Amino acid sequence: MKRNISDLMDHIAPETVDLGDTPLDPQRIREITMKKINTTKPIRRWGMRLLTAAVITVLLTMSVFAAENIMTYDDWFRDFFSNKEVVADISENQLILLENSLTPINQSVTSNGYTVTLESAITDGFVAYFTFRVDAPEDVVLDKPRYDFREVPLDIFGEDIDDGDITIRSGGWRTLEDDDPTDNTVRLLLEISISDPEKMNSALTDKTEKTITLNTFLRDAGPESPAEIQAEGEWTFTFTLPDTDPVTREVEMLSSPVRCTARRQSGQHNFNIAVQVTSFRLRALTATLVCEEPLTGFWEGIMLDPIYVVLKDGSRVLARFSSGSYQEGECVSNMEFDVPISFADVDYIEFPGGDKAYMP
Amino acid sequence: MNDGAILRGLRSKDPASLEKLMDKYIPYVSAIVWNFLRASMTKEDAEEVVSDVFLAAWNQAKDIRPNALKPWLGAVARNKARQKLRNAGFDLPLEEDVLDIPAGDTPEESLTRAEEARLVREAVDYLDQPDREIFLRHYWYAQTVGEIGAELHLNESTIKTKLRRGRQRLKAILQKRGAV
Repeated sequence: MKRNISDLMDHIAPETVDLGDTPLDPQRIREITMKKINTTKPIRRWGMRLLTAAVITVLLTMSVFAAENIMTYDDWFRDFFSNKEVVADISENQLILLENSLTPINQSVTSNGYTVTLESAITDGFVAYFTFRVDAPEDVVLDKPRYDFREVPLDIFGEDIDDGDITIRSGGWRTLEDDDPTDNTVRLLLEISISDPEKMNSALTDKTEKTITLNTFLRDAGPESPAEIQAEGEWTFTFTLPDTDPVTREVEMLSSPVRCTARRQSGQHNFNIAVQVTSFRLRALTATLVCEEPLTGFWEGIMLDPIYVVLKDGSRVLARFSSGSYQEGECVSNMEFDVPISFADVDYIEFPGGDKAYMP
Repeated sequence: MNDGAILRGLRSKDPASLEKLMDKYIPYVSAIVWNFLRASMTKEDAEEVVSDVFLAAWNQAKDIRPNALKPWLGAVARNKARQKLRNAGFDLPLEEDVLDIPAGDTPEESLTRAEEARLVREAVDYLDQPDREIFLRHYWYAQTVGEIGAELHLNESTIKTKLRRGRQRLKAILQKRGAV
C-alpha cells in the first residue's frame, strides 16, 4: 500500500521555523480575500461541522477535511473540559490528543417521536465520556437549562453487572451549550467510570460490544422541584470503543514511594496523618494511585490531601478522587481530571507533603 | 493584537480582525503555500490559495482555539496547496514522498487513522535533532534540500541522508504497527 509521507504528516504539529520571503504580493492577497468575504454567505453548521462545497471554492478531499479539523475538536468536549481554574488555555497538545482520541459512533434511535443520537465517545479505559444529541418532534422546544435520562449504565460483559467488587458508575449528565435554545434540539454529555480499576483496567477498550440503554427523558423543573418527564421511551445503543492511544497510554510517575499528608476523620475530630503512596499511574483522563495500609491498620475516614498535575506553563490540574478499593493491604484509588492531560504538557506531579514526581 | 483578540473579532465577523490576521500571518501562510506550488504554478495561483486559507479562517473561526491559530493556519495552508497541485495533476515537490507499506491481510489488521497518526508522531518524535527539523522542513513545510542545507549549514548529501533515515524509521514503525 503506497502512502504519501506528506499525507502521513497531516497530524504533526511542527515547531515554527523561519521560512524566508516569497514573491507573493500581500496586498493582492488582502484584496482577493476581502472580495471573497463580501461575496460569500456564512457557512451553516451541520451537526458534526461539515463544510458546504457551495461556499468553499476549492474542492475538498478527505485529507483536506481532516487537516482543517486537525486543530479543532468536538465543541461539546471543549465545553465540558474547560477548567476555569486552570490559568492557561487548552494547549495544542491537548487539542491533538482530543482530536485523535475522539471516537465517532453516530448511532440514532427513535422512540416516541424523540430521536437520540449517540454521536461520539472518548475513553482511557477507566472513564468514558459520551455525547448525545436529542431531536424532539418539530413542534417541541427544548429550552430548559438541564436535561438528562434515566439510564442503564454501560453493559460491558453483555449482561448486567454489579457484583459488589466491580461497578460501573454513571457520573451523571451534563447539558451542553446550546447554539439555539429555541429549537427542538439539545446536546448532552454522559460520564461513566469504572471503579475497582485494578480489575477493570481494560474493560472499556477490550473491543467487545458495549450497550447503553436510555429511558425516560427528563427536564429540569427548577431548583425546588424534582425533574419532570419530557418523554417516555427506550433508546439502546451498541458499540465498541477502541484503545485509542495516546489517551489510554499510561506512565508510572513514581520510581520510589513518597510520603503524603492526609487526614483521618473520627467523629467530629480531624487528625493529621501520613500515608505512603507507592504508585501513581498517569493517563490522559484519569490516574490510578496506590497507597500502603496506614500504620493504624484501618482505612476508615482517611482522605489524602490534594494531589495536582503541574503543567509546564505553571497551571495545576487537580486529581479528583473518584473511587477506590482496599485489597491486600493496599488502597487503590481512581482519580479523574477536569481537563485532558497531554504528557507533553506535564512538568511534575505535586504530592501533599512536598514531594514531586517529574515526568520520566 | 494577540491571537485571542483576533479570533474574537473573527467570530463576531469584524473585518478589521481579518485584516489583523492577514497582517500577522500572510508571510507564514504564503511561505508554506509557495513552497508547495512554486515548482508548478504561478504566484497568482499561490496568492489565490493563500486567500482561501484566510477565507477558511473567517468562516471557521469558532472552531479555532486561540493558542492553536498558527498551527491551524499552517495545516490548512498545506492541505489547500496540496489539493491545488493534485487537482491540476502535478506531483508534490518532495523527495521520495511515497512509502510502500504492506497492508494488513484483513480490515482488522489495517491501521486505523488514529493509530497511523500516533505512529507517525512517534516516528518523528524519536528522530534526534537536526534530523527531526530536517524531516519537518521538507515533508511538512516543503522546503527544498538546498534551502534546508543553507538554513542549517549542512551540505545537500547530508540532508538527503537524514531524510532517508527519517523515511526508514517511519516505514519501520508503520510496518511494525506499533507492536512492542
